[in-house]
Amino acid sequence: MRTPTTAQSYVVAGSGRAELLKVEVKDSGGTFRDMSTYPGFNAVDSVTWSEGVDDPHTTAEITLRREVESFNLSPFVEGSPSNLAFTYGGALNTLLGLNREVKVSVAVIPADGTVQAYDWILVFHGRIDTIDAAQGERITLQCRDLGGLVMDTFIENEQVHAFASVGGAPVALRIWEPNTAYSLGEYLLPSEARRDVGGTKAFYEVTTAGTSDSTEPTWPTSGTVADGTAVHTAAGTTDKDGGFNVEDVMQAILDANGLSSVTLYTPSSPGWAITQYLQQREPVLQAIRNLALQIGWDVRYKWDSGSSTFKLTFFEPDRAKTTPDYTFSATDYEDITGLKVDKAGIRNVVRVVYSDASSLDPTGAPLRKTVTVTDSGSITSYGRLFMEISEDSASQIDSVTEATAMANACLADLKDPEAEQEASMVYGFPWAELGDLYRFEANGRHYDSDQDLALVGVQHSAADGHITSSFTCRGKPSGGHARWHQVSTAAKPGGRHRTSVFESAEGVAVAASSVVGGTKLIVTGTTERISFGDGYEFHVSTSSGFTPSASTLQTISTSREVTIPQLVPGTTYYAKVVPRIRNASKIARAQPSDEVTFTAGRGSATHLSPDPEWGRLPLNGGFETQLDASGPPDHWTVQAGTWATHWTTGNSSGVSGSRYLVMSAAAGVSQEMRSATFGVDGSETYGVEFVTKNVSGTGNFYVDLNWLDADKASLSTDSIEVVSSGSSWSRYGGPNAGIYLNTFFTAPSTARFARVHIRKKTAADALSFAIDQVRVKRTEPVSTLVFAASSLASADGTQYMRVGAAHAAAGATEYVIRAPMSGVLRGLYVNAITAGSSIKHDFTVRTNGSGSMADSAITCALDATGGGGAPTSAEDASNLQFVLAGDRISVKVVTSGAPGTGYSDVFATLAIRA
Amino acid sequence: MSFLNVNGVALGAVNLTESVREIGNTTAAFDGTLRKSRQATKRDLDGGVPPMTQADAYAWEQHLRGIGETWSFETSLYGSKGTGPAGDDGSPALSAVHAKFGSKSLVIPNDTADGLQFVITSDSGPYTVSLWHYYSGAWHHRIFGSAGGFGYVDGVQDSTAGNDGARGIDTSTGSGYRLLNLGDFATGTLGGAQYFDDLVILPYAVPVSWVAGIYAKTVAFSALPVLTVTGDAIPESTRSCMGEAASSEFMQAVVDGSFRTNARKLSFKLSQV
Repeated sequence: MRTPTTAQSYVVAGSGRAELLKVEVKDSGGTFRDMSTYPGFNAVDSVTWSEGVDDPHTTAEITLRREVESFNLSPFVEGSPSNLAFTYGGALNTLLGLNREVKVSVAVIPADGTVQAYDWILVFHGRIDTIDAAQGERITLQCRDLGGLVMDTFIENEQVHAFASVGGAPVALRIWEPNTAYSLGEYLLPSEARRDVGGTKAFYEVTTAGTSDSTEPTWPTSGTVADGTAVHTAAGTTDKDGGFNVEDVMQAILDANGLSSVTLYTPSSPGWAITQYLQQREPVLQAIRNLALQIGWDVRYKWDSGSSTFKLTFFEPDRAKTTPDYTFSATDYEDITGLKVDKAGIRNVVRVVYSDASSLDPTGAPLRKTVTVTDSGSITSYGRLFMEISEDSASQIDSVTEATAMANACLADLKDPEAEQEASMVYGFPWAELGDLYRFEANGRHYDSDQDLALVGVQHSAADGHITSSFTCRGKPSGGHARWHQVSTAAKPGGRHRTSVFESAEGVAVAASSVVGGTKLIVTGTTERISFGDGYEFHVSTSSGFTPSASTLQTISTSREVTIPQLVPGTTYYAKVVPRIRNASKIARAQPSDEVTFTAGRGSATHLSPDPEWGRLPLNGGFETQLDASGPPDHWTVQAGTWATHWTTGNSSGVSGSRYLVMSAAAGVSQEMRSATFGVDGSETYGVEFVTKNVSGTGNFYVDLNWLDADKASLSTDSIEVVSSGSSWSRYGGPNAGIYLNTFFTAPSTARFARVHIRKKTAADALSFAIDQVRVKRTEPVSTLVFAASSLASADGTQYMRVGAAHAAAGATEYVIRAPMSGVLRGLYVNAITAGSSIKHDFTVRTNGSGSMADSAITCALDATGGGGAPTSAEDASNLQFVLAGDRISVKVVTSGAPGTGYSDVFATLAIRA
Repeated sequence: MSFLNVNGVALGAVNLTESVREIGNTTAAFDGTLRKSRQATKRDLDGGVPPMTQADAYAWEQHLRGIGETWSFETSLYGSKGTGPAGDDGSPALSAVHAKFGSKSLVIPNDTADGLQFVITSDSGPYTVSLWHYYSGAWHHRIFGSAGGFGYVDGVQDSTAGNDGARGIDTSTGSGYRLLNLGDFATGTLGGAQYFDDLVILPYAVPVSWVAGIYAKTVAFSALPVLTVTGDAIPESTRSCMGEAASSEFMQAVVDGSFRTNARKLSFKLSQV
């Protein structure tokens, strides 16, 4: 309670008094103007002012007479003398304006007395928030105390507090952000990724104001560093463990947010040292009061008798007060206008959830712990009434001691059903302060014993020449009831635990280890958890010394370890990592790490499944691998029909292995499967070979070779039509069973790819067949032909046919050999020689591609009828290719003339020209 | 001393009563105890005047109601009701060199323009202007008005009271207004800065009988609508009041030796401010 002067005490004790009111408004020139004289008339009508424990401000409503004659206080009347500072022809300077300072004073003096300057009691000092110039003939001003400025001032940037000091006083640190304007004298903390470079844990002062660069500078351990247009200078080292008195941190908050003119007054220090935390963006007063609330203290503007001013005061409500500050008898109040108790606000079980900085989990995060305090007496009387306060990880409540103190402060304020009394006083009592303990003497009607009640709210009204005060009182002084209920909230297990945000971190580095087709990049050099930082950019380039950019960015991850795939195996790459930090509202990209080089990994043979027939075309032509059991075999797709309905696999007794493809019987349904594409050479000759068996039904099916160009657009299709009839596996290379009955197709000259189609010929057929071991083969040149030994002579070591004595007579003899393979024979020729005479041998090369031996285009004659046996030869001169379409090749020799007249053997060879 | 003077002009009041008005309240506490809060006591006078001519009655009604405005030239160029000058061609200022009342007066430096202008009234309405003018080393009182021949300097009838070009004071009309020009140097005949104080502009014609009282006042004219009330009826000798003259009674009477069919009796109230 403010202390009345001796003179005032006598006046109060007397039975008559004069109560006077004075309102002063600071004009644009900084002079407080008395509103009872300055405007040209006495404008003061009435004032009400009030305060409460749950409102950080004292508020006032001032009602003024708006106008008399040409004197007008409305700020919208620009010609009014008071709005021209009573200067004829002067500039507009309205007397009443938003944010103008206002003082309200009252005087309590003997009745009929004359007020002296020393009689005035300053009861309100604040600023105008609202002006309403149309309240009838009056104008009203809504005002808040000087704390309004502190509340309206917003902490615009996140700041780190209780982490560094200059000259012994803690200072606010802004975490470095890119492209940000910094003012002279601000203090900076490197972003997380660059903090503690060099192990100094330094912080910096902005010694040249300017805008930071887009990339964080390399912070020096001492001296200055240029950053965009700004220059910073190392200012000292941070201290994460030392702690700073909370009132000093509060002052640092004020100083760092343009309120250095406001000095926090702490009559008695709580002796509470707090450690570093990240101050969120919020009103300054709210930030300070939140700190105070953590120990149940309060911050608000209070009267200071020493300086006779209102000061922003950090104080502890005297909860233990028992001696009343003042005693009111029934003579002092008009009525008790309210006297009630309410269960709603009672809490007798208080749990505080907090992060224990001294108890960490294996990752270094503080464990979330709880403290619960109870009041058994209250529980017995009113039942168990629970509340929970969850302190976030940035809270200064990080020990069991602090959490218990907070819980007890809360419990003390809420455990009892405080009687709430409202009393309307006869006189004004301008000395009232929140937290006063008043004794209301028994009046025999509301209570018959004295009641000691604490002031939690007061409203004064000055009008019509006198002042009245109305008190709202509760059981005892407190730090506020609603405030506790406002912070009551369930614990949030998902809350970010950031108490170790400011752990030291060294610069990051990156290490690489190859994986198949890529690399694994691992951030090293920091053990800090990622919770505060937003992750890392991983950049990869084939150029050494590259600058990380969008084109080199591979991924952004909050993990320190990523795998970068799809690099070219065996190629040398370079990698860098760029830490990204979310500072306030901006992403800060730290300096890139040093470069690391690596070679993208190659696969090894063991990476390949042995099941597919590697090296054969098409891939997985044996249908042996089917990684997705619900889909077709690997590298095969369903072109027509539905897998599992129209196409399935058989899983036992296949030919290539256990598995094979089965086309199900489905009349009226088009069914087609396609292989993956594979490379072919244009103009070369290919065949397709497979085994198949009929499962059920009748009908034909096709096995196609679909030729594709370089863009894999279809060029043409060659087909083998198969009549599926046998119920056991038969091998096909053409329309008829038998391995050597191959059909060959010449790829179009522009063909670069091909694929195999397996399709039913007629959709209406209810045909089901199995197919396995599909192979596409390219015909290859044959270098050797071997005739049956019985027909051969090898006198000179070369195998050849010997048309022996049997050919001493005219006739035809055919020498047949099994074709070495299907395909094309290049450079095939017949070479014949004979010593005989009068004889002629005509040679024809034949094959059985059509089922029986048929002539080919290669013929030659060895005509010795003229005498002598000059060697002769013939080649497949047309295109130097001889297509073996069957499984036999022969040389048919037709002998004519007059054999038998001499040695008539003829030696002939069918050979491949080298 | 007269029984009751208003701004130095004697008011022949009759049936005068005084009532007391307390500022504050007297409240019963919870136990019935009366508690008094009184920061001031105000005294109010009610009364009437003997029959007077209609012209005099009209003037008194205006005067008691505080019609008109005064300029003290102590803190600004604005009058007691907030009216400023109408025109400013003479670089006016407040000066402490000379002051008839208070500590300052209006000074118009020697210039070539029309000086400082004030709106008196409409260009055809009645008016009275009273002011103090410093020249020849002394303050001189000028009072002049719309009535013919109503012009007095230091209480002596003088036709130059309101039209003294040689000393920089005259009136002019235009745009529907009559303007008072102080320090009108248009003629260029003035020899130096002119000082004026205690300007009173009344939009009515005051009786000739008031001239002597106004001239003889030893204090400034009241800041209208506040009236300075003095006389034997005022024990504290001077009281600031606001007046009302809400009604008047017509009667036939002999006033000033002449029979009047339209004589009036005014009723008035003077409330202490």
